[in-house]
Amino acid sequence: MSVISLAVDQVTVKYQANEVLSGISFTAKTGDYIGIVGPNGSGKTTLVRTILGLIPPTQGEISILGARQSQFKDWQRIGYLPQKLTSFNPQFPATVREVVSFGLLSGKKFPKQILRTDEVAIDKALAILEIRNIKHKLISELSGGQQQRAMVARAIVGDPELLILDEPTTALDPETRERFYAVLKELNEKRKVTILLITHDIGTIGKYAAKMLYLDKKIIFYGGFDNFCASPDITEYFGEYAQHLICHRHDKPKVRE
Amino acid sequence: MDLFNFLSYGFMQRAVIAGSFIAALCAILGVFLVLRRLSLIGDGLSHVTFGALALGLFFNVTPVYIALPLVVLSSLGIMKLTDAQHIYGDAAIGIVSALGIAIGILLVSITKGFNIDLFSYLFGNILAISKAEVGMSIALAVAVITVVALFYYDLVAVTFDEECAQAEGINTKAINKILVVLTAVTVVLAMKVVGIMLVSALLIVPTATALQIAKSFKMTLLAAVIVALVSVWTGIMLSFFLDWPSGATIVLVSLVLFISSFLYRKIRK
Repeated sequence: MSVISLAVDQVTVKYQANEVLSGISFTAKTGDYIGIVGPNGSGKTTLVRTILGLIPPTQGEISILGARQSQFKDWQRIGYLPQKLTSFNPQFPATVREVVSFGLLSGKKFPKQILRTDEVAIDKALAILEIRNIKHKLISELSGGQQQRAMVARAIVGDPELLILDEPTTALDPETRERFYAVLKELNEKRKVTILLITHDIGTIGKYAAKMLYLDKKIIFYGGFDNFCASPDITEYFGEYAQHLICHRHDKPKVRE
Repeated sequence: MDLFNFLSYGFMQRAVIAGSFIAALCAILGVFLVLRRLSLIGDGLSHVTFGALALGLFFNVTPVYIALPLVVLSSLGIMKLTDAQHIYGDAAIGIVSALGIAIGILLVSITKGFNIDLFSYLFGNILAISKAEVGMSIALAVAVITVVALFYYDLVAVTFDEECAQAEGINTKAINKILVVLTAVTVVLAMKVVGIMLVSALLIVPTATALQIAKSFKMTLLAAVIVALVSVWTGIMLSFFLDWPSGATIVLVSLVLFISSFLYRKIRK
């Protein structure tokens, strides 16, 4: 039986008079893999930041892993990768190991300590992202792609049930990007991790995500990629030609419903 | 004279003990402040300290008893202003700092100019530190270091990436408040070592030096503490033998160490 991991109900976010999100409602079941797409300024990042409680909604309710968001405390059950690598100071003098270990803090009691027993989880996350060899390197000495993988390792080190990634592939070369998507697929299929992934690359995400959520301040479309390509709403929104270009940029999608 | 004979003097022992605790404290907090790009908060709070000291001297109250609560309140005021929309963090520091300096200058002019006490606070004179001040320095330094140790991982995570830390359930606002309040206490303590004019140097320079050589976060903390201790010990010794002003000498030693580490890194590259 599928359990609801995330329920967003009539969420509206306003910055003063400016409505950034309007009446957003959708649910994600355990093991869903949802690609969140939309133009710049469509509210994608605002949506995930609202889900995470970083922005208070003006209206509406959110429930995460069975609890109302305002009462949710089990943050270790959620992994988050913010939009830009620039959200952290790239000159910060921490090793990859130290950075990944931060992902375990939300599950700790005061006074928080990273113990020797935590090394197993850290090594496992590094192994999944294939960066064990740079464990003791300073994060500032790494390439953008390696930094991105370290940040993803931080997001997954706590074995999250819900993983929220905001444009995680922007700093990755095509080969690394494919490997990265393979890692997410494995987490999603084998461990039933629910994934919300923001991207501009509609064609590529259509290959991996079972569902697409097209956002432009309100939800334009939410459903499978095949349906996205056949949706008259999307045809109306993009026009036939643009829809054709988006939907034929890749091999036939493997849609799980 | 035996090189280490100077340690037989009581005032030198007090200077070295208090200076060591305060130097370590400044170095530890400095790492967090520099990496948060909050280096200038030390400078701003030291200006507030000037105003608070002038107030203390004006009302004939032991200056530190007035300075400590006022500077702590000012640090929280900076946070509040920074949280307010349309005020940048550095502008908030500038506003509070200007208020401190303006009040200080006004009170000094009313009391017909500088007196010896205010002069020693402005430029520091650790060689004149009293037994009571040593005791208070040690007690407050131990308290601040204990708080840092208890919140260490939260402080590091918030310093690295505030948004991620917040999404991981860390109360970033509380951690930020803890950091600025600890900084306020440290600035008041450090004024006796290097003086109000140079207190921000003790917060910034050891960290800047450590960042040239460190290979991990813990190593950065350790290196900053060592650099700060060496600066204070060497500075006190030089000021004793050469009769130089202690605060300026300590800061100059720390700058020599910074330039050396900077050049070392350049050559290694």
